[in-house]
Amino acid sequence: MADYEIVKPKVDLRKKIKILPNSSGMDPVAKAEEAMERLSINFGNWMRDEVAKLQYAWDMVEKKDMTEESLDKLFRSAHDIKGQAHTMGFPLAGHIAGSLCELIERIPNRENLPKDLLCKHVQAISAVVKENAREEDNVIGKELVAELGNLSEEIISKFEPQEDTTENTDKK
Amino acid sequence: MINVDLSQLRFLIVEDNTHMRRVIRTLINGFGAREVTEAEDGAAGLELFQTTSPDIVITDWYMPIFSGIELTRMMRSRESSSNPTVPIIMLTGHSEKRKVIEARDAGITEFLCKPISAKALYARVANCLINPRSFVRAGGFYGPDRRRFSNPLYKGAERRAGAISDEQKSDELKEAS
Repeated sequence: MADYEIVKPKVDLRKKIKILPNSSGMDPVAKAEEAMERLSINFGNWMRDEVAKLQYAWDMVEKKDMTEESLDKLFRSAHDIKGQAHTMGFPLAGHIAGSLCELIERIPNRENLPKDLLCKHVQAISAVVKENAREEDNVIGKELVAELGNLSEEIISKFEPQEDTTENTDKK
Repeated sequence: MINVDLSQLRFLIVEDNTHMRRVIRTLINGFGAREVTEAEDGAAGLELFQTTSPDIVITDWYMPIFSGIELTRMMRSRESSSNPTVPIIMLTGHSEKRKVIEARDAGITEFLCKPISAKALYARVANCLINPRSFVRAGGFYGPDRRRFSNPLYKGAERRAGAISDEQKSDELKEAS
């Protein structure tokens, strides 16, 4: 006997939906984009909230030093910004937050984490949002992203374990 | 893209970030769904999943209490879940291949990397509805069939442990009848 089993989904959702003809004039994606456009008036404030959370997490790192707990908060906050900055119109902030996440995620030995470079990332994200640098081709912003990215990669390549031990790290 | 009326479906969003939850809800409502519930962590998400019986779950990966991966495993549990075959869309900032594989092996239905867009999210939702996949229980895995396409040119060994050939299946059926 085969030791696998094929199971049909419990609920057939096709019975709960209707395929709309093109003539219906309904365009769900366009409707959702319009709704997002209306929502976007909040994005500036929301990003400032996220930056405040990031700054608070950084203050904890300064105060308690780089403990797992304080780094976890910093990572979580940077990860949120990485995920939503582009949607909220601050792609450069998203790139910098991504670089900050890479540092924390790929250098498992906390003693090797460059505190000054982490700090520079936090400051850069704050500056981008404060200056309302929304365009991805903002010259200074682009340079900042490239510089921080290069510095981070240099340090990561020095301290990242050669074997694929990243599977064992707990950060997700 | 196929336009689908989603007004009769219930959605559950599990995401710890307030702003991101609002963005996802706005998109889902924009698609035409009326019933959307939200949870801010994996534990609250599981509770709402069991009590509200959503038709589609959209979950983040990295959350407090337990992660989207752990939540997926609990929702896929045939012993304790109210609907182990519910479509689950994993929405995350992780784009690394090993993360995509980890999510797939936990039993997610669709994977969507942030930044989120209306078009990409709608495509994932529509795919869950229009092209539902069969579920497979094999070894420690329970989830949507990970083989989205069958390759007629594949000549390697059957990788599902203990899998039987069509001829054997036919023989078994004959014996049974």
